[in-house]
Amino acid sequence: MNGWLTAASLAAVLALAGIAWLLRLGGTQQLETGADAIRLAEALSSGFEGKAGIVSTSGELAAAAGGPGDLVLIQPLGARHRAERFVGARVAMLSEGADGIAITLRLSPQQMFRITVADAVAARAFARVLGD
Amino acid sequence: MPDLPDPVDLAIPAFVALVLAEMLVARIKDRSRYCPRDTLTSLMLGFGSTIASVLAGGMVFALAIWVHQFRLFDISYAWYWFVAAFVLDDLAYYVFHRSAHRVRWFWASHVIHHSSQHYNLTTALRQTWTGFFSLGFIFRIPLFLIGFPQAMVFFCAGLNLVYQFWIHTEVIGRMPRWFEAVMNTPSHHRVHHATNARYLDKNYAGVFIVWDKMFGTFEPERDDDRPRYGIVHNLPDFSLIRAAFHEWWGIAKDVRSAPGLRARLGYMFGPPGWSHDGSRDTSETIKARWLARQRLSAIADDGASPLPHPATQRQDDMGGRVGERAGTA
Repeated sequence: MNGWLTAASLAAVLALAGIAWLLRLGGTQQLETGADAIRLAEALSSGFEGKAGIVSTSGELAAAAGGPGDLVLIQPLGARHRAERFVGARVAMLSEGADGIAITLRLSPQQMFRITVADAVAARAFARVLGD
Repeated sequence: MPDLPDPVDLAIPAFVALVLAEMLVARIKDRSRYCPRDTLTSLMLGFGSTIASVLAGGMVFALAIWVHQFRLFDISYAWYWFVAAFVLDDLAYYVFHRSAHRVRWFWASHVIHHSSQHYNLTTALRQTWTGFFSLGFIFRIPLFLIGFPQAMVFFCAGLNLVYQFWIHTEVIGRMPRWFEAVMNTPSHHRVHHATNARYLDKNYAGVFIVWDKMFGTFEPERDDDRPRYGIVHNLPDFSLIRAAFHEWWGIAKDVRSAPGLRARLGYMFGPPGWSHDGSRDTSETIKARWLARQRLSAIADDGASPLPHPATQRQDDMGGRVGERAGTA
């Protein structure tokens, strides 16, 4: 590979990435139900078995509980998602608001996470499974 | 010695044109097949890989020349030797690729290629930066020892790499049956890139899928189990450095904290996911857990168990399952 080819390759790389952006490829896949959250959590987190799932009102965030303290949190990563598993997570607070139920999760002693859920039944079931 | 071109260099314009065409198809059919940041990461990793190859290429070629002096045969540049070299090089690729998934040292270099959650033509270009360091080139040494000239082997290896570009796509469903039976195809290779338990550690082939069929690692793609792409523990961001080096960093941390030499060697050369206390998942444990769940759900669904166990096998002469009979007795 000569210098000219190297420079041309780098230009092509940047051009293709730019074209992907101009074509508006990607976007975030929307999640709809707690079952979606469980399915995705099980797929992305090896060994996890979900019992209750919730999806945020925006459809971008989700969480699934596999039992007391066993939590998988799902967040968007480009056009896909990333999942992080927490052991010892707890529901710190549950508060009803105009746009749904806000669940504050204590992921670790130093880390809190808030998710607003429209489906009140799913939110309460999730809180029961995860524990407080 | 003929002056053979590098097929990869010649194919670069076609790579660019095909990626562009696939992007346009994605724009029409399913925009989520591409993600601009993932695309940039894949292409930059590919670009970095070509730089790393140039830097290490001289040393690999020098090693090939040194090994070639111990060759068994003097092989000429006749066309039929090119054919033989291509087939044997593909077999060597199969062995390399299988090792790259079963030995963590090689996986640390190869994981970069699997670290995208997307499966498109840019994924094909997402190549390692550390291939020389991981010593992946040793799998081609037997070809030089047989007597195939270095230039011929590297030419065939280039063709092999070019072939593997087009199979990284979701645009093509399935090829004609005769082609699927012999050649590696987008369908076969989607299985290889999938993290579904059923598909883990399958379809290692480069060009000819027959190697997987011969060595028991073939798995066909199923319409009822769509592939999910990526790695068991997906990367949390699009960082080039993390993608290129995260598994090496993991090995270093594990070796440092391992209790004893045996554990240290296990963390370096055991299968990915191996741990001295069994606390992590390997592909075997993931498959075993998945199979257990499949069996349980099959029993729950209709009582027809795939378990080859006398307690759940059908015993018509005894009025049903042994287990059922025992339960109602």
